Amino acid sequence: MKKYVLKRIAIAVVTILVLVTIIFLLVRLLPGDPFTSEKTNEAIKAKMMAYYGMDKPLIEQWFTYIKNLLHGDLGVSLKYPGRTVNDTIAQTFPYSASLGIRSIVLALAVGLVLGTFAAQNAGKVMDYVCVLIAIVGVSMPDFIIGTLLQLIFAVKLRVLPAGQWTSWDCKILPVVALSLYTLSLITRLMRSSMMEVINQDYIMTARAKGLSKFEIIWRHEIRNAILPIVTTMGPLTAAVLTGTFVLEKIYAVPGMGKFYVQSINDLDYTMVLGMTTFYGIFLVTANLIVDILYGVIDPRIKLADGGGGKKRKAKPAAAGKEA
Amino acid sequence: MKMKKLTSLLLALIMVLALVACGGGGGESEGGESAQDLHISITALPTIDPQQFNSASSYVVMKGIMEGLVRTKGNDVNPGVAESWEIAEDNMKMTFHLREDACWSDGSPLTANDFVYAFRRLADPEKGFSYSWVLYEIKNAGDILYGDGSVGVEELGVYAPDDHTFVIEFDTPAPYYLGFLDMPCFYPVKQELVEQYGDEYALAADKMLTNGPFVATEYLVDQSVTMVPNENYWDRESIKLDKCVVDIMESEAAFALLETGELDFANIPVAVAPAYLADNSMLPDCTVESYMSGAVDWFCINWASETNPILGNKDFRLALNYALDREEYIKIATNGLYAEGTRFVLPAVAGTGGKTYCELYPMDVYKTTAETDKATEHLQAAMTAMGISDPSQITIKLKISDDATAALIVENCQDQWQRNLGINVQIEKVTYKAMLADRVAGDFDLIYAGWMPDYDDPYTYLSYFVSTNSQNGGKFANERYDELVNTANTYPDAETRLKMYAEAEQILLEEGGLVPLQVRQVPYAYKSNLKGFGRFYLGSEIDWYNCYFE
Repeated sequence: MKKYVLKRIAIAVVTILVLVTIIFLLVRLLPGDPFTSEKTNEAIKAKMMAYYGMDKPLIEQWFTYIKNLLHGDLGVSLKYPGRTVNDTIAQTFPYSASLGIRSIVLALAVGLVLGTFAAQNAGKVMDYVCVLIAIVGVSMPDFIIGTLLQLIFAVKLRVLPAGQWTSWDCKILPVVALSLYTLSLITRLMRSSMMEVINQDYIMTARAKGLSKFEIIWRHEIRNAILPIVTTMGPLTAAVLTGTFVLEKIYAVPGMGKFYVQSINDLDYTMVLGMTTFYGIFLVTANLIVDILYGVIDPRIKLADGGGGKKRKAKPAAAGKEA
Repeated sequence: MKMKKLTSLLLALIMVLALVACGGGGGESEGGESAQDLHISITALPTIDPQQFNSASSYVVMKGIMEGLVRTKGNDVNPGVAESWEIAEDNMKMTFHLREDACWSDGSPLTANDFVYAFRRLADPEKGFSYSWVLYEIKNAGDILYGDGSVGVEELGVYAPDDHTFVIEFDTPAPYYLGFLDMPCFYPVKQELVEQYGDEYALAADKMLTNGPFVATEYLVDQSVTMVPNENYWDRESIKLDKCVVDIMESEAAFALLETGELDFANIPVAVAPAYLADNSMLPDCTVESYMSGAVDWFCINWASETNPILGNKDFRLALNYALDREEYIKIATNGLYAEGTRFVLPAVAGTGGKTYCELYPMDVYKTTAETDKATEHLQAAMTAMGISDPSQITIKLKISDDATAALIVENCQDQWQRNLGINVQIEKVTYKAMLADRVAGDFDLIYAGWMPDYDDPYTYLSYFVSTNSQNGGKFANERYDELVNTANTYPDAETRLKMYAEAEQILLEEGGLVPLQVRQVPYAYKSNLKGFGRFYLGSEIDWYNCYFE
């Protein structure tokens, strides 16, 4: 297990280094430059380039960046004078994280219940209702859902605020809009996984033992059916966190999204690079935790990795590549 | 059993995370709302350091918390920190008399030396302030900013003979400079604080000192600013608001918040504006208006294009202008919101004797509708000169940025030119930054361009096409034009000067120097009980300092 974790961490570090280097080069390949504006001139532009050390060779700039990165310093923004990327993240990430985590929790809570409920009532009306909700949620992009919810509940019905992130009721619409896609995925996944479990022999055994229906669902079905959900939590977290960008814009939530998107438009190199690196570290860590958690939950992975001793079961896909 | 424990552990973990999340992020709304609290929004506020000023929309906040030598309101230049001033006959020197009791918001005295320090700071070539070009006309500024470093900032033509007198000397006469001085980069800063905080100056409300009608109590970079009246401000009694909160957000989000009553003011997206302008009752308790924002849009033509030499042909450029039906595309693309542009200088720019420059010097080189006969005639002449037999052999590319309204306008122009001239027109979309870079580099056939005025004078527009201007990427070059625009400022008599500008503009249009498109109108709405609210094509887009709720 320890070896497995160490290996995963090493891979994560390499991934981040490659990510930083690629973004570092890509962002400079974008046409235009950060300092050309309607109201400035070439001479001033050159002075600004020199001030921010951008007149040095690219390889030197890259070394400087990596060196600073190892000290946790993501650099100074080119658009917001004097402002460091670290400060910007510290100011804005709590909003994005707050929106993202609330959405994931909502999606998990509702998705698992709906999925279980649908599987228990397979083929009945309630199943179709749940499946319909899931299909609508998956098919509609979050910017449409976000705008629609805002139009209906804020502008037309006036029951909820149209945006911002101040009082508790401001948070309802963006959280619901953001969670809908994830919620639908979880519902569908839970439903199909549950359907598979329901037909297993051990469920019949449990029933034959005379266990109550609730006990069977809770102790045998959900526990076995939930495994695939855990594996998808990594990618789903990624989807939710990138989804916050769009919804932050619609609902005027002062999160990271605006800075991220705007810094690409402004060609604020350090900001793009810093935010991408931050997100990269965040997502790689999320995936790492999921991988490790999966290993904890499914004992077969531990065995396959040599933690136990008896290697008899096939390696699960999640750990297959590394083992 | 073990698995059950782990599952519960997982669920518990998620719940803890959710609880933690509930604790963090976002200040809860403050209590104590008053009837005189203004809540507005702008789209960007990259900095509140005066000399770092780099975005027109930050004007709105800067003018609230700071004050320069003068304070403009519409066309009027009113006293600011300076009570009175004298301008030399030849426009080569300005002397400002500062208020005896001028002070910073903490009550400490504000002197002419604070202005000297601010101007010198802006001129510092090491710092590379993006708006340092505004100093150009001031004595020695050119050598300091663009020279070899032999002329230091101490030699900049700004002086403080005593604590309450501030003098500016110019290298070239700048008759428009007085109102220009209300631009945030000219606002004073206190030397000891700038030196104390260094790079961190003005990154937080308590890391700077201001002198305007309001003081910032809370400032989060590009997120929000909360301002309350400055008790030490010289004109405190004219301030009626108790608080002003400016949030930074997208204009679409701002409009939704106006509709639900959370904001007191917002711009209306161009796409939906005509409906709201036509029916005021769509926004209850709000007044809907539109104003000329000062922006003029035009196609910059690449005179020196190597790939498309026909653009260097005057007849071809005129054909493009005559073939364009501006009324038609404005109706389709903006529902008639924008005004047709047939010249370069904004119609509202001041002239003399209470009339605007455009009223004094009307021009009818181009019409708002198409003149297809004239267009065909000029196209034929161009084709003969270039040895082209069929208009379909001509292809031009229109370059634009990814702006929805602009895209709609350019698509209509494409259609009209293809219909009316029979030439091929292609559209190339690039990012905004790429468009700016390509325009300066001259990498285009025709490129969509917009221009906002810096001061109330035709020079702010016409200086764009001077052949030595590095922004003039289309390489329009005309000796007479250069002579007129460059020397007009040396004539102290305003009428002579404006007449020279008019001659220059006439040349620009007759040569087909550009394809004027439109004058932008910005629709907006505000609470009807909000009084004293103003918008103007110069300086701060919103004038809110003397607002109050009735």
